Amino acid sequence: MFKETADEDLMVMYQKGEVRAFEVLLSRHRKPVYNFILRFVGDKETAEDLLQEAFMRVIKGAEAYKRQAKFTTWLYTIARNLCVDQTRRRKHRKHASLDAPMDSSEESGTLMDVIPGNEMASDRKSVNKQLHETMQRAIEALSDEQREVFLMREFLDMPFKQIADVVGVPENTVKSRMRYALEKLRLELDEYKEMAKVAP
Amino acid sequence: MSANDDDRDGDGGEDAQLKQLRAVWVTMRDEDPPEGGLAALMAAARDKAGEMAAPEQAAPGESWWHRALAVLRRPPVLALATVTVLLGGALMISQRGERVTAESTATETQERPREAATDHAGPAANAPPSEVAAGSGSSVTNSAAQPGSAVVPAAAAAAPAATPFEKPAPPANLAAPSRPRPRPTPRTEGGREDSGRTKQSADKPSESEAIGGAAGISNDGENSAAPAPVSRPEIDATSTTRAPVRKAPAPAMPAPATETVEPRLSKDEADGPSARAARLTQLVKQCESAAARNDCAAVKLLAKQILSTDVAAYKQRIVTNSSIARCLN
Repeated sequence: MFKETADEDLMVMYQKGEVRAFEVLLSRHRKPVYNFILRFVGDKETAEDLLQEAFMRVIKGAEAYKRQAKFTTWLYTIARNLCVDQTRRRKHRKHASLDAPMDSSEESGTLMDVIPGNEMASDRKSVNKQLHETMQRAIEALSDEQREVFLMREFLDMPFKQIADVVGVPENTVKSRMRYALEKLRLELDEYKEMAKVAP
Repeated sequence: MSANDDDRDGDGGEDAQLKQLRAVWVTMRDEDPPEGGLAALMAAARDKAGEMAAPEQAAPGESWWHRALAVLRRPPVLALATVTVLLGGALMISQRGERVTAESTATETQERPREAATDHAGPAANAPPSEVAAGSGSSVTNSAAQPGSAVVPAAAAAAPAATPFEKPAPPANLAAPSRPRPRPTPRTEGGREDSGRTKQSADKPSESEAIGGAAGISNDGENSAAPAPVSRPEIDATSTTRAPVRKAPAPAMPAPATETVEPRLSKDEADGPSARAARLTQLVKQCESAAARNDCAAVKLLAKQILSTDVAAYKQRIVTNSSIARCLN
């Protein structure tokens, strides 16, 4: 029913009491927002809480929403602010530790296990997994400013202008942060470029 | 939400290494969010939707004042109310300022004749008895012979339809300051007899006292200095006939002038005709002196009092005096 309707129109409909419109918005944005938060904070439980909080804030602030505002800008601004607050709350940024477990799940190993030594993983699936995990570690190693820009740009495919609106800095600053983020990632992942070549 | 290709200038170029890296994270699979909080979210969304829909669809059970209150709480209405309050306050303050100015003007007008009376207190007290007697005597005769309305028809015609003894209530803020004015001479006979005397008699000496009495002259002293050829009943007759004349509106007169001297009227009447004659002479002299100073406000006030005291004296000594007449015109 609302598949073709723009986010902003759906929001206006929700303001008028149409719950189905919000349901559509939720189904459209829940997953990307969750993944953005997850990649930002690097923890599933926290990401789940923050996702819930983000949409709760959308519900609470729905009355004040103006049709002129881009819904995704508003939504990701909320999500980003929550992530920033969360990372600030954790006073010491969680640096990647070679000994600390990478994930809360028991079967996950340490970065030492993931980063291959001299021998390359034999099958492609394993290589991909290693690459993805390594990439996740590298992303987490970025500064908050660089990480949020990188995530929005590369994973959400947002224009720089919109990222600037979400982050609340000039567009040129966003571009600059993006350049630094990529440079850092390139350095971090330099030793795995051969692995990347193998990956599809 | 798609970025333009030419928007890639911040992406560090499109070198091969970066393309390979990008290929890695593009393939990074998005994780599905847990379904745990979905029901709670939808419940909250439903509640909020109900709240948001309520104001627009004005619930039938909602009372009119609920809706009015909701409208009044809106920012434009609040802003309008703020502006109204500010404008109202400014208006009130400006009006109060005008009142204060009027009050100070009235006080000034009252004090000027007092000063004039101070200057001429001596000559008035020492006025020749013949002059005083002539003035007051003729006035008494005239007044007694003719009714007040006939003596000054224009003034009588201009008088309001209310009874001549009714005095227009002055504004409270103007009347208030005149009341506590200290009396120059302690008196025992007249005192404040507001309740016991008629308005008619009250009006007359009040003005004269506002000028002469307040100047520090003892009325008793005046009375003793002046002869008293006129008998008491004649004075009563004059006072009754003069009453309508006193009610004639004097456009140049400040309203509080009549109000201020109200309490001293009965005293004058009690002093008898000799006091009236002395006062008349004093008033005339003060009037002349005020005219010499070009203090037309005082001249008008004094002339009005003289007119109310003795019409004949007014015609003989005020109207014929060119310097006074200039002020009156």
